[in-house]
Amino acid sequence: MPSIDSVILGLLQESSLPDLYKRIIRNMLPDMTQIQKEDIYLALSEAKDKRKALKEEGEKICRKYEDIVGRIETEPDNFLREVEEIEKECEEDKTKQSSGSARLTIKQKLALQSLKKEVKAE
Amino acid sequence: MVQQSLQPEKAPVSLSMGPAQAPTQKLSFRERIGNIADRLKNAYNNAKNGKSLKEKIFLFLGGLTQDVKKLQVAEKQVDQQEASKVAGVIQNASPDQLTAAIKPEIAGANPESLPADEKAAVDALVPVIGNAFQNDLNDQERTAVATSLGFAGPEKAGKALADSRNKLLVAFFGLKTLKGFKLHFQRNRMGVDAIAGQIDAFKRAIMKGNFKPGSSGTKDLFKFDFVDLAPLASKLPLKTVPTLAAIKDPNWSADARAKVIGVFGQFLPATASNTPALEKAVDTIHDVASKGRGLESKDIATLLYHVEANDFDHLAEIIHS
Repeated sequence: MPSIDSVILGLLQESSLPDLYKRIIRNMLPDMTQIQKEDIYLALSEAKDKRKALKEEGEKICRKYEDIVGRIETEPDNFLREVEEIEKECEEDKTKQSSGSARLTIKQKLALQSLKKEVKAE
Repeated sequence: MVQQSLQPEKAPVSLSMGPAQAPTQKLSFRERIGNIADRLKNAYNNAKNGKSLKEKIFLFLGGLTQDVKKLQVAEKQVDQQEASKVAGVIQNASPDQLTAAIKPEIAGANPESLPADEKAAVDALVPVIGNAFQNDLNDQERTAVATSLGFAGPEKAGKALADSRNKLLVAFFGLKTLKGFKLHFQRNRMGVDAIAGQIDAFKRAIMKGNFKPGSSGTKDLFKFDFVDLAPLASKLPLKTVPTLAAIKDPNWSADARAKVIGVFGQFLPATASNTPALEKAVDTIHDVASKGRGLESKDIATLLYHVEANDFDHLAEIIHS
């Protein structure tokens, strides 16, 4: 099992901290108390988790727009028709205001559509 | 225990440095987004379906920009939160811990092998850098102090050590703006003599090389933001010969006085120039200078004190520019 020191060093390497901070922490590490180490570990690992989540969010954005642009390139007419249909639905939903999906934006509906496609493909 | 959940992952998680997986994912996030944006732009230029498709593509481009911007803001927040938490640990570290962490960076691996004068300089620099970390400075200020004092590595330490005394003065007096000084005046209602005395004690301690944060005589100084005295002294018109000559003349004419006030006024914003406070400051300095005394910290503190009511922020900007 890796020691907390080696885990902190690994996290430090991955972190976006200014170099100055990394060097101070690296030098301080041997003299740190357990509480200090845990605080550093928590700060670094929390940031790492958040970055991971943001990276996944970035992946989603890429997939969504890659799908959109792919369809614009290959089937512009169908794509335009679909978008216009969705827009029309949204307008109708807005006036009805009857269900939760009424509040979905065009962007969300497109995302939903590509998600359904992904599920089908799988 | 923390160890139980410590499983380091190998792949970096930064959005901008994302590792490759599938063929399209071989590109970084930024490259992928750039690629998508380029394709959308091309599609926009090539759209032959008339205005409608162009409009939709335009909207998607806008949406893409917005989504990426949101992510970038979130990423920046994560960086800031991480730095702030880590800085908190450093700020609360003991002086011994900080010394042990900072010393190798400015003195190299074998500080004991340094010549005596360099060793003394290192010993003086270490607590200064440590203090910069433990005071309420932002990242930029900390980096500036640490770098200017040779923290960028042993290879740069030599230069920092050579003129460490000046560096110490400049770094310390340059740490904070006059804004902090103004606040200190307001909070503590300190007199000019008390402030000048503290500044002089601080300077003496540094110049003698026996400066210690928290030591008697300098302790109070650490409670407030430092004045940028060194640049101030060099930039204020006190240095210009005609102004200096005029201000030193015990029998200066009303015309000469007005000219000196005018010169000082040039260094101040419109709201602070030509005010009774400035006139009083100039008169005080004239009073000191005309009696043959040098223009020292006390005079500068006097000037600051009397223009304090006006616009210190702007004054600080001028001094730092």
